[in-house]
Amino acid sequence: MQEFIDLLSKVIFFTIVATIVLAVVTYAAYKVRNARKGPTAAQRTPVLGEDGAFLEPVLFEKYTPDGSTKEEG
Amino acid sequence: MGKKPRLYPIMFLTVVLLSLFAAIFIHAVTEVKGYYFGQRSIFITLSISMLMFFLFVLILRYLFLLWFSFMQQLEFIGRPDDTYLPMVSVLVPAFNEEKVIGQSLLSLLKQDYPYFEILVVDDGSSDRTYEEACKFMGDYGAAKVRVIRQPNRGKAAAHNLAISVAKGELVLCVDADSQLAPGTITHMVRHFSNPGVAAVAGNVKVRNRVNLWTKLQALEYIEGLNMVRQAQGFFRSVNIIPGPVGMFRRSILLSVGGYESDTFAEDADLTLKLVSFGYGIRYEPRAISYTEAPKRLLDLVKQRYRWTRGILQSMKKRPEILLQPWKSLTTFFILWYMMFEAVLWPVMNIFANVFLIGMNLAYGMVGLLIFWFLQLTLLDMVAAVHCIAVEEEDLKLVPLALVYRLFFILIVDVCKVLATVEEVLGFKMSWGKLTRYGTE
Repeated sequence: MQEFIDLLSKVIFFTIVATIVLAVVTYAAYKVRNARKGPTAAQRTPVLGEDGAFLEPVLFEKYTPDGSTKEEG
Repeated sequence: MGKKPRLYPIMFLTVVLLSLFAAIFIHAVTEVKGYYFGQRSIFITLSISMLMFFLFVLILRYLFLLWFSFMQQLEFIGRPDDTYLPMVSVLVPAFNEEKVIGQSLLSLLKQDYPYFEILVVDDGSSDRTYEEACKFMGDYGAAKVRVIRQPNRGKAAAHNLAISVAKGELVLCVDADSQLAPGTITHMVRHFSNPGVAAVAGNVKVRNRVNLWTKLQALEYIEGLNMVRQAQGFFRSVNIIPGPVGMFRRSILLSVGGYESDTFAEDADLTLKLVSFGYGIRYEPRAISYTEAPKRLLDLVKQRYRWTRGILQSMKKRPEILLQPWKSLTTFFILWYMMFEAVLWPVMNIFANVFLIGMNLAYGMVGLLIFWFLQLTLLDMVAAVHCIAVEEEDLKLVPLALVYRLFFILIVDVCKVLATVEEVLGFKMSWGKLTRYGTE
């Protein structure tokens, strides 16, 4: 039994260490790749509806709702 | 889903696993009390006490989540669908989704709802997304498909454009890679027959279960995300309406200003905005959206990095809801729980791992290491068995719970902690578009 516990603890131990290393390395790889790539250039395309009409950008007016539709409970 | 006879053996197994867990926990506490306490430094004694307390909190967390998700499950079993059938607009913002947009639209056209429109917004894609979507444009009887374009302004702006031109009383927001299960719209709409319901969150599942990463994510979605959402649904306070499937009352979206583009998790941001205004948000487990999960570790890290920073950005915008329990106690608790999941638990998990490794190296305390993981793994097994049974999911996912905690969650938590540090330090970030493979 003691041998099994020792083996299990070693498996857990090495898995934790390997996982943390893997996570940090992957994170660093992501950051490096991101830094190299830079911001993505947005492609400028016309704003068209299905009938070819121009659609204005949407800017909603903000106001605080009166809460009349709040659900109880 | 929800067949009672199938629940009994699963509940029995859950009780057995919980009992086993309790036995190990009691044994661990006895061992720690009898052997470790008082023999080492104050730091070690305090650390072990803290970990034991944390484990206790975690047990309570699982018990509460299991109980309330079960209650929520009982709440909708056998309840007939309503006859309330307003027009629904399905909004599909798409940016460079040429590989998946066709499959997504096909699944939407298979919905059995009698009166809906599908509105695709191409967010200035550089590939053939617009052309692929246009192939579906037209009148299909119950459904109409419209496709519009905008310059690349981001997902939030694409959503807002769609909301502004939508004709439906209700809007269903989905991702361009989402494939909806039949009946999703019908199941969600029935909640809105209650005029007090502002939004309904759906159930997201992983579609591409092709390798270890995607299978572990499938388990995570079922056990980690949907169980939590289901429990929150019991209190009508779901804290994140997922991007792949969420239905809203259009008038309320317009009144709160729609989506905002100043965070990297626009779905979490909108949900918190609705919550901060006091709106009730429900959960519908039968509204299923199958989504494509990252197949590679690098993509997974990219996704979790964006989620973590996005959630923190959304919460930073509204700190007052974390400090005003008198406005809504349920919301207050659920938002603090969100903070616990996003920040506190990952930090504690990594601390526990590093501490236990240190104790193993310095003092050969192998017992603590084994107890810690045995208990957490058993908790995960219990939760996995329960959730998989309730959702009638693939039982082959249950054994993955053995490596879920030790391997998968640790990687995700390392990513969450590093992303949190970057957010606190104010590092710049970009959206980080995931690679789509278009798997069936």
